[in-house]
Amino acid sequence: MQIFLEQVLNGLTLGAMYACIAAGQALIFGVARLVNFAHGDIFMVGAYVFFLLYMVAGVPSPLAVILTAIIMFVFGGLFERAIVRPIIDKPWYVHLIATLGASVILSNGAVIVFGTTPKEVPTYFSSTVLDVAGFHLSLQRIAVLVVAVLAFLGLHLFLQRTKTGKAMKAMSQNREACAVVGVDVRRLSALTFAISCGLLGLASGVVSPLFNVFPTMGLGLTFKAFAAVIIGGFGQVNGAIYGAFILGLAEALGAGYIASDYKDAIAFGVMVLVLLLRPQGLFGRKVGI
Amino acid sequence: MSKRKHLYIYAALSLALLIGLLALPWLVKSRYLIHIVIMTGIYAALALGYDLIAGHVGWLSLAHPTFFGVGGYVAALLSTRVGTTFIVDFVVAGLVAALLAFLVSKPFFRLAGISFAIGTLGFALIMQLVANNEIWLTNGPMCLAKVPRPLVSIPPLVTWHVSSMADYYYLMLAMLFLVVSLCSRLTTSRVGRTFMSIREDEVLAAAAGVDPLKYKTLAFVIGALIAGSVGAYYVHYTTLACPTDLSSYMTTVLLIILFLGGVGRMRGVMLGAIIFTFIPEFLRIAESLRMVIYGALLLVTVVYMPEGLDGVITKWLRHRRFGRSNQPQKGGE
Repeated sequence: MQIFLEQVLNGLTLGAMYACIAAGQALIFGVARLVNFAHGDIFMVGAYVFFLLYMVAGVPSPLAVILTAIIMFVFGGLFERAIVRPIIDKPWYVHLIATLGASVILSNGAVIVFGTTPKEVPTYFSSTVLDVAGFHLSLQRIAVLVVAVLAFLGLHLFLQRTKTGKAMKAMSQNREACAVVGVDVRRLSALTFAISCGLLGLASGVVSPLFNVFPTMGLGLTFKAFAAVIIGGFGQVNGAIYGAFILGLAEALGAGYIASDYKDAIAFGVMVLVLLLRPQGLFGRKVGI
Repeated sequence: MSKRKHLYIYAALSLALLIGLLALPWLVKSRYLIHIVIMTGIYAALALGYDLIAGHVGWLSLAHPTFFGVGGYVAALLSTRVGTTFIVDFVVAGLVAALLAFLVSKPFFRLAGISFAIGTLGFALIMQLVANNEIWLTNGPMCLAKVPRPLVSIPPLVTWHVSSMADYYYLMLAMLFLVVSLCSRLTTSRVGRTFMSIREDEVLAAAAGVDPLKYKTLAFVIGALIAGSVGAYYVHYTTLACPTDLSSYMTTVLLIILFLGGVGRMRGVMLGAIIFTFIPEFLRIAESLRMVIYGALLLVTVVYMPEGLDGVITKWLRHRRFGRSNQPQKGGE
């Protein structure tokens, strides 16, 4: 029972990480109709930014997380301007090839700058283990959950309550109509990337003390995020978040109880099955984020 | 006059290229250089098969290296455990890969566009996990080693023990010749035009009486057949069959070759293979820096010259020829 609960906690933290990546991915697909193959690599960039701030510059870790989020917010805006804007009106395979090109540049660029050796970023939180009623709870895992839940709450409120958020929702339903009634489609698209990447920065800051940071970590995460997005229904932020938590739990429990060799196959197997049998996702709606 | 001159130049160039290709092992003594040429040939053959589905039909499957890897494993298992000769390996590997492609094509072609790409990607990732984990069959990450040197035997006529680099080179040339003639026969025929009609507008093609599913499956399965056979050659050449042969890195490499050279153009795809494998060996730059450059080139190509390098060259040649014939003729030469 105790092992089971610890696996559940592991699954939830894993799910929170996937959810931060998948929510951004879904937001981008919903608003800009683009599948971003570089999304996991942007997470990797965020992890290195956190590494530089925390381990090299010596910024205290909570502040470093916030700074990482801000830096990645700006990075997302720049990414949209440099790579996405020239291709946004082109067909989907151009999106795929171009963002894959960006992924190749980012991951190999990281090899050149930081080398292939994984970097460890142990923080006070990750080295502190609480003993609650016989459970070993790493403080960092709790921090991951708290930060993720706060971020999703913030994102939800932003999309539901603010005018900009509502405009994004509208844009995910009909881009042309939005442009016609005077929504600044380009600015919103840039903002979408900035928000998604800011979310990635936040996630990479709290998650990287649990896992090591290395240049090729991105592509696998991109694929996991695809799985979550597809399980939740293409381009739906809430669906992607649920999908990510389901994946995280399935992986942690599957690795603990079935076979750790095939824990990644769960995600991809479920992804393929959902695509084939229920293409609108498990929580499917036809349009909108 | 000038048209005939062009024809002569073209014929002379082709003949020179053919003689050069056949005489290469005598001209070049460096084993390393021949190795690079062989790798270029392998990538060219693999990419040509991939181009059938990705370029000519325009359905971007991300599972192509799976068929390459499966073919490699089939050939490695056959030759080490059963002791078959090369031609048997080559044919059976291709057929098994084609059969696998046929089986998965039914469900995956129900998807379209990006869903098809991601669905095939999921299939490829699962197959790589299988190659990594089914150690009893594939020996996992330790790779299947000691694949014997190919023995090409057509009893009672031919018994050819392929052993030197020159032998491997000629075997590669024969394989590339097979692949090129198969692809050019396919793409320049009625079938090839049907492929293109599906790429341009699938609904319109269907309305004109074409069965898109049939032709998409055909391109997909023949691409897999080529990939499987090339995989058989590859494991006999490197003597190893590894799970990394099925990886998404290979997919990235193939996409770079296709889109840099010119997607849907045979000459472009071969040009892409040369650019990707041959040229960097002379530039001698680190692997990761090379990949950064290719990533950037890929981005620039797909945005600013969607027809690839071959498209640019073709346009330039046509422009020159057009310009020349447009000038007033000053008497006969």
